[in-house]
Amino acid sequence: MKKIILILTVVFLIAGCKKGYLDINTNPNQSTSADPSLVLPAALAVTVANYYPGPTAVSEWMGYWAVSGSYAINASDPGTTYKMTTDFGDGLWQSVYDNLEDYQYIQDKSQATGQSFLEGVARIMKAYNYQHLVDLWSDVPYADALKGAASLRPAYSKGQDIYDSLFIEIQKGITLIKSATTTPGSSSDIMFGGDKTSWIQFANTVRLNMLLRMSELATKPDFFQPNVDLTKNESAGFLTKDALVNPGYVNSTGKGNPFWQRFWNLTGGQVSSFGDFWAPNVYAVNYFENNNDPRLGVEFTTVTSGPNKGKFVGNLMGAISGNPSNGNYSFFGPGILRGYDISKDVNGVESYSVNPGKGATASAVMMLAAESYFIQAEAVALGYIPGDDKALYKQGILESFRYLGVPDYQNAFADYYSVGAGNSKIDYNTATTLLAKQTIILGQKWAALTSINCLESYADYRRFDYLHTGSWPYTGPLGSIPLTASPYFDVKKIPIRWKYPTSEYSKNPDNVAKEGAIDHQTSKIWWMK
Amino acid sequence: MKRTLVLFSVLMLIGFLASAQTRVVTGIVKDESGAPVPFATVTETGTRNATTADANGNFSIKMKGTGSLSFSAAGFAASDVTPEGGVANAVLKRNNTELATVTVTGYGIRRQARSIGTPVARIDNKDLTQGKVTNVATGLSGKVSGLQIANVNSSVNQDTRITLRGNRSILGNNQALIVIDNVVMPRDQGGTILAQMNPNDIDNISILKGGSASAIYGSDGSNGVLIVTTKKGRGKMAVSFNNTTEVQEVAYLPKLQNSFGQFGGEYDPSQYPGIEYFPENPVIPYVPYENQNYGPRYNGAPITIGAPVRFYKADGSYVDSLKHGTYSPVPGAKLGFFDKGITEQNEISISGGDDKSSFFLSVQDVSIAGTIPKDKNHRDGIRFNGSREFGRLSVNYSADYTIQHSNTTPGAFSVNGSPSTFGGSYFQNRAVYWTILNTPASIDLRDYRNWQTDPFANPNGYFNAYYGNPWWQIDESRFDSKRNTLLGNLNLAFKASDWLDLSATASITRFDLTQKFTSKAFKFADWAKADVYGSGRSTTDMPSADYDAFEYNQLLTGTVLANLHKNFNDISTKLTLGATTFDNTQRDINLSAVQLGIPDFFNISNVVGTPGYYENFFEVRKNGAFADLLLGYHDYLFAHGSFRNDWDSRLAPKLRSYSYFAGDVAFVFTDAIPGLKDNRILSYGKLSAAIGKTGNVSVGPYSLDNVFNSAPNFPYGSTSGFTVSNALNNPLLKPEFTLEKNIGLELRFWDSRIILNTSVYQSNTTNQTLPVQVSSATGFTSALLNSGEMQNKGIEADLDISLIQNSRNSFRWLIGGNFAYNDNKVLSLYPGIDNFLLSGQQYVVKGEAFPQIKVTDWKRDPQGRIIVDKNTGFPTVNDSLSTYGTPNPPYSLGFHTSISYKGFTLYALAEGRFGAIIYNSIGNALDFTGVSWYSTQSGRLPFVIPNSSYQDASGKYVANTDVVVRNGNNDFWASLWNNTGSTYINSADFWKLREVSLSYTFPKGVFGSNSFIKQLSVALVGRNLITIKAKENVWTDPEFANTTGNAIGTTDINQNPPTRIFGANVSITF
Repeated sequence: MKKIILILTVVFLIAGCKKGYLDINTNPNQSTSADPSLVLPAALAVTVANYYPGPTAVSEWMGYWAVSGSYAINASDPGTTYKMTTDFGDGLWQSVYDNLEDYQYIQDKSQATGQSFLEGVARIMKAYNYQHLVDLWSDVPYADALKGAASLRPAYSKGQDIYDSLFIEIQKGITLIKSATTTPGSSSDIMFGGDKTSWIQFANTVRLNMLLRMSELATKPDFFQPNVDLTKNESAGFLTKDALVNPGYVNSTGKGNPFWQRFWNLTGGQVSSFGDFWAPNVYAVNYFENNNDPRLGVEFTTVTSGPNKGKFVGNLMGAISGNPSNGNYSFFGPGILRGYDISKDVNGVESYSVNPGKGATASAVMMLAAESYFIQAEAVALGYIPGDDKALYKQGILESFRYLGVPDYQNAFADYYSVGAGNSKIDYNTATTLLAKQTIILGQKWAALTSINCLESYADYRRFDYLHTGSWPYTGPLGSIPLTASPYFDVKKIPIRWKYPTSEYSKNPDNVAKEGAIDHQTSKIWWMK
Repeated sequence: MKRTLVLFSVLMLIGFLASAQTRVVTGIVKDESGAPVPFATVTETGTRNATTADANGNFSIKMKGTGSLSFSAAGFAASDVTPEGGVANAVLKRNNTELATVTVTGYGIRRQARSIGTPVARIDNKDLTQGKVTNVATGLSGKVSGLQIANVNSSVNQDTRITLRGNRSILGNNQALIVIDNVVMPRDQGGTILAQMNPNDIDNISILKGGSASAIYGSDGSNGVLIVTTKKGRGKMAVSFNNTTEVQEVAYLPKLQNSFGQFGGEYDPSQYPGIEYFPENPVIPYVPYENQNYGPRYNGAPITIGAPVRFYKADGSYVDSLKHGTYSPVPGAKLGFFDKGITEQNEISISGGDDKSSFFLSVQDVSIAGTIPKDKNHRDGIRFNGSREFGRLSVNYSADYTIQHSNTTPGAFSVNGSPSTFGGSYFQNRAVYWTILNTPASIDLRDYRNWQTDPFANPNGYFNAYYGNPWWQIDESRFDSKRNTLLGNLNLAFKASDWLDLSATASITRFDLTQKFTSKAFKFADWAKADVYGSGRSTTDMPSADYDAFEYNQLLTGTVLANLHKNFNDISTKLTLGATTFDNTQRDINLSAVQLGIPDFFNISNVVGTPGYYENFFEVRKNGAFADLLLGYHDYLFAHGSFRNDWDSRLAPKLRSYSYFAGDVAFVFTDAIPGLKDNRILSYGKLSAAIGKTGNVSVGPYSLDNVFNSAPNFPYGSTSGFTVSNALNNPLLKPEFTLEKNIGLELRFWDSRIILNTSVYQSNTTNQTLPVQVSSATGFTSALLNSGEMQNKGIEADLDISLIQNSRNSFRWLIGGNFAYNDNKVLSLYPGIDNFLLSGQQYVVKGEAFPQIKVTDWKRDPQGRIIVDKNTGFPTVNDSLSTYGTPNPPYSLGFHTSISYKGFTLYALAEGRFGAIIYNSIGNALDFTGVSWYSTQSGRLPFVIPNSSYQDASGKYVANTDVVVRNGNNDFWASLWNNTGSTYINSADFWKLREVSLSYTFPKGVFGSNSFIKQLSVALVGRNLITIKAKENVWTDPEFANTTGNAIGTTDINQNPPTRIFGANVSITF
């Protein structure tokens, strides 16, 4: 018996002391590590969903969208009233930082494992995301951000310093990609399929665009010229094709093109309530119509019922009454929502049919080739890079025709350009001064980005149009930007710098307080004049 | 651990080496009833040679002389016995029953009550089962100060929440640890296991009220411990049979209205056919299919109910027909819907024992039918406890196996890993209770039972266009749950020498749970889909659904102990060294199908598309080593200390070892101070002080490393994508530590006719593990951190008085009461963060008690008046939330009395809790549908909101005496007033008459001395007979909650109504 106890005791104690007995805390339910190549597709898919086609309020401000006549105007809707609370943009802020953390992980992990292509991509995409943050909020957490427990209340960095740092990151990213010995496949790099040149071109275009943001500053920061030189001398040049993202979108609820599935309710087989709510802005419809632009018919559908049947009719942003209701206004056409098919009968009367499979599987747009060409054209006009600004400008319009699916787009473009001779919105020869050149380029850029990238138009507006509306002798590229018809505004002025979000005031109060009170209609982004 | 190993080996060897000298005398010390007296001191009379008997009263002493042995034990009169033939058996007389009580203070360490300096209470079987409870936890309610049992719901599977001295942890589990026969239960399963035990199997429960008492239990003991000791057999074989039959009925429902019928806002008869205007109220019509009740006042007029229903004849022809009724309320219709639930408990136990062995066997069958029709629960349990001595070795073992099977109509529930919601009624995922309450007062749901045969009750023709027939739900939507629980333990105890005992215990605790939810398909008829009244009723066909869950939880524990005890002159010493190991695994797997291919064939393989699936596994291991030393001086001064070190697998290797201590002093001053000795008035007085520190790992396993989740919507085909989780885990997590201090005073007057036990305590829990919400610029949204402190301060008092104690006619009247006050406060959180959301309406707020209920309120002027619009009289909801108070009652009171005369005993227990608030979210639903009494306070007419103001032209707030609300009907009550949470906040104060019993024990003479019946008693019992709640609480039982977690204080629609219970018990011993 004594032996039994002794043995029992010993057994227990040995069990208790056995090396590794307590080392069982490895998570069997969720992975605690992931190769960066498996994180990249998720990160890219989120980035594109964050910015394509951009916040609804900004689409309103930029004259792209309006509330359809089926709905009452909301007295506190920031889009039509220019009011802004700290809740505005909170979702985007949080989503962008959440997304940035994934790139940070890709960067750190691939740096440790020597996957320099992925590290380079992560640095470029981080810069791309931070640029968006700075362009909306100016000063944001950067140097102190994405450090997890090491800095739970990140301090804010100055927008200009962040830009300075982002240029360094982009150059590092380009260098890393060039030096990479292995490249990821298309199931990991869902934007360029591991194509080095495309990534370098994309990075260089982003960099050039960042330089353009400073175009109106009288005194450029010290880092401006060195980066102009780096950009100019990058042999890969700039983006020549659309930067599209497609992880393999399918026609299944939640798994489709992010833009399409906001508008189309797959389960119900109908336009979603979101799609029902939003209508094309009359300003955008009129722009294409007044300039005999063949993109009109691919940007918008014709009205399907009522007295305006067969016409293109937009809605007046913020109008309390008079806007047509459902079925009586134009909807977004197949150039924007790719799931619309247009057919013409023998009499040339158009009809539309919905092809959800096509819309759902369409790629999402990170950056259009058109955008790249307009950026280059402006940079040439400004003398940052060498080249033929007119040719680049025309190429930009042509690429827009192509992307939007204008039938026989090359000839259509040729006709459009020749018919538009003398039109200061079309004919580049009409622009003889730098200001006029910038105006015509940015105007066409705005048209090309209709309902595709309102944030870029918004940045151009704040950098350039903003200066040239009202008291200036020149009207901006947008003519006079259409202001709201809503009576509910406090100050009738498009917001220019966003208020910091509620989540920062509740979770990072000390640091956000240091930025002082932000007046969204008078506080400026650092690159604004 | 290595050192412990060496130590134990040495101890073992010492045991073997201890060998005989001179004359060895053995024996057993018993009390008058023949029960062993544990730990009696045995002294060779006139010498210093002494030993201590073991827990079972056995002793062995080496006598040097030939004289007698002196026996003494606390609570017993001393006695001398002269050994005969090496044997000396002593029978000691008790001087005082209560004082002699031996209490288990941890790991089988038994101590005389007088030597305990920590807050420990004890409940015996008699106290526990006075109200013939089926759930052990409910039998503890109101009986001990500082122990709070919250019955969070009434159901056939009753949930309870057991806390001692309030909450200590913000994130972690605050429920007391359950220890059954020295086996530690998994922390989050203890309550469930306790609920399944047979209360009659329990001999006693020791309640270690806080960290100062429970430090020896290591990290799980920080919230206090309930040590359950089951019965051991003893003496002659006895067979007991027990039957308790109880009826459970719904005690009350929320206060409802009986004045207004159906209307929800539709006016236009051309658009909404079927509506009817009464001449005396031409504005608001009666709408026969409406779910809201804002219509005209009931007037007894003949009406039609619902939409036309199609009756088919045998030849295929049909007629459309309307159900007719009267526009008046049906008294008692809602209460009448509920069943009277019958609970039947039968059990047989056999027990017995001799010098060497004991056994106890019990079999229990409990069947519970609930108040919701068809809800039932059936439980069978068998327990076998036994012991056997082989010389110096004794073996103790027990096994308990329980099979529980319940079948209920579920409320809506969501499933891990799947966005789908199951259960609930077919239209809006409502629970049965909700649907019954929200039925118009003019409808008697009892008429709608036969939905299979009655076209008016069938979903096709059911009158309510928006809510389902609860009978259909009860018949077609079932949740079946089977739980098998095994508790087993084996203990070997070896008496190595007269001063050294060794013991080893191994145990298994395991349950297996299988759950199946089934919901049958229903296809609406085309005529029903046509919706002739254009009511917009939901007639979407319902596919059948299936959900299967499998879970096991298994705990293996091992404990080795060495007890060293020796007396040196006036000083007694007792040292316990122990080591424990703990391995808890759990695995959950579930599968779900929202649509089945072949309708009503409930097998997951019959799924359409891909089933939802989920798998989770966890394992936690803990080792501990401890030492516990008790020093006694002259039986009146005791000093006790313990030290424990834990190693926990959930923490990082470098941080997983942590230690803590506890110490206490007990001083029986009435024995120590000569002037107080043998005092008639103050017969006993003890002053004690204790301090103890406990560690607590309040996170689950795998909380150190960050995880990657499959990104939303991924994978796309073969393209998978992962994203860094938003929760920042923390590899540097440390345990939370609670330091508890306690001072106790126990006074007994007139030979314990009056017993007063009081304590004051303070506990501080530091290093809280908090899921702090952080700036998303960190890359995360929450971070797990060690930060923050919570404090509990309190006073407790228990008083027992024997008012009358007449031995001649055995007339006894005892009264007793207990009082507890707990002042809880969150002292700090994370720097810069002064509050965060816990869950639902519950927040953690710095400087306030934990948790706080925060809900929306109306915009108020500086004087606190509700600001109304000058034109409409309507108030507006304030943007920010207002804080209303804590749902944990700081004050609790219990009173009990027992009067016995001859064989009769009348017993009653009442309990009250005060100072808390509750959020009755159920009120919102009742006001929306307008069935509530609350929504009729203005008679459905415009009125001036009391205590309101409006802004005049100069911007000043003036008292509102004349601006009435634009509308006093549904626009106000169902669309506006129910929009703030503050409407449904009220005091959670209550008094409950928890237990009343009248029992009669037949005198022994009745059966004759040779009768095989040894004892017979009968009893009538009642539980929760009366509830007195705050006047403004017109909703439900303020003790209810929608969780057993920390975020209590919200009642919702997924609960059942409170009940009261009446029953009878027969108990026979053969």
